[in-house]
Amino acid sequence: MGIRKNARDLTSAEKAAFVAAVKALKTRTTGRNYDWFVTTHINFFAAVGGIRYAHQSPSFLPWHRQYLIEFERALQSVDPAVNLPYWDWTTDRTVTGVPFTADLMGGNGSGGNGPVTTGPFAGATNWRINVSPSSSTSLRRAMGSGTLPTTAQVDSVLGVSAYDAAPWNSSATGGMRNRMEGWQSPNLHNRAHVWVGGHMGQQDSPNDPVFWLHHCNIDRLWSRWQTRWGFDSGRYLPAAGTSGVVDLNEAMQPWPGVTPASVLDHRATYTYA
Amino acid sequence: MTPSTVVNRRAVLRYSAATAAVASGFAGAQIMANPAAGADPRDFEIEYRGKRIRGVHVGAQEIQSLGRNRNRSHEVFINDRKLAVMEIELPAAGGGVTVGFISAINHYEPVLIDTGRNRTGLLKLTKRAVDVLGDTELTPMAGVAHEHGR
Repeated sequence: MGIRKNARDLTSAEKAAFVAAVKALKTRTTGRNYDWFVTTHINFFAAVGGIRYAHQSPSFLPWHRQYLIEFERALQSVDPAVNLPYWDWTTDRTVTGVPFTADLMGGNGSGGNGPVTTGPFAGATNWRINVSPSSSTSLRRAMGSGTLPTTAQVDSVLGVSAYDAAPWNSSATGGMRNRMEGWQSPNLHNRAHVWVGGHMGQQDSPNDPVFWLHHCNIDRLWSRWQTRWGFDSGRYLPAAGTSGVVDLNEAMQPWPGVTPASVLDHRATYTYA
Repeated sequence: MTPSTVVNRRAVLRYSAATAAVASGFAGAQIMANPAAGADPRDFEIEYRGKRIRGVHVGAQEIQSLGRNRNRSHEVFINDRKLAVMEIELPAAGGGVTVGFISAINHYEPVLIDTGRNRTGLLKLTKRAVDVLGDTELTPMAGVAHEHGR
């Protein structure tokens, strides 16, 4: 069982191992290489076969939970000791602090919205963008647009006891999920994407490796919500019979054997430190 | 020529009986991506930060029916490369549902649809995309439409 740590608590060796595993995945030419993950996120951001799996739907949280597990497994195929770290943006809130240091994610884009110039993912030679709606071949960031969510805002979201509510999309106002995803105020997930900017604000956001640290934090916050309200299947909605979204026991594509129910209790697979 | 001047001129053109004759002197004005949409004073075709941006709105009646029929959407081009815009339902201030736009470039920050006094939503979304692109261009992936939030 893995333990996912706060990025600020990683040792130098752990940071180096994480970066090396991510870059090794990028250099693979077949199978579940890094760009497979980028393409999968692009494909599933939208509705597939009339069903919204990854975004604007209740399965936003369980779909990304499985997506992170798959990515973590891919990293562990390179280095079994690697676990995903998380970026807690309620405490690390600057463009030069954790995780945007030269030994982990690297810093801001040059000139406001240009290529990242520091760290292991700077420049197309170190980290080439292959799948994107924009033509830049190097990673870009435009950090500081808007504000990162605060501890008080996180607490307000985690205090909503209903998981989600009809109409189960980006206009739902009756549950935790849309506040967490961010189409409803106070907006936790979307806001951090926008704050980092560059590729993180685009459809191909996993091209920026900080995607994984951000989504690991979102998954951690869901786990905190579950710790408070329950890991049981009654704490996922909708239970059954809802068109266009993934019910509790329906498969989450592209993983036919995985349902929201099967990923609710993650504690046998990984925990958060 | 300032962007606002161009927009105003476009509006004038659209309501002028001599539109065709006047427009012939205006680069690209005849090239409408979606002629069936007809004249809409919110449409634009301007230079912004070194890029030529063009926006074509579907008609007001069609906007009202978007909740039921989303086969058509507004169209945006940046340097003649298509940027698909997708409608997404959002909680409205004061209750109910409103419709915003996202694109492949602005994927996590919707811009509200043009309603009431807000008449520049599509232009705002397009300018944001140009701000993100900087010295880069859209790829064909940016022009692929997909559904959100139905």
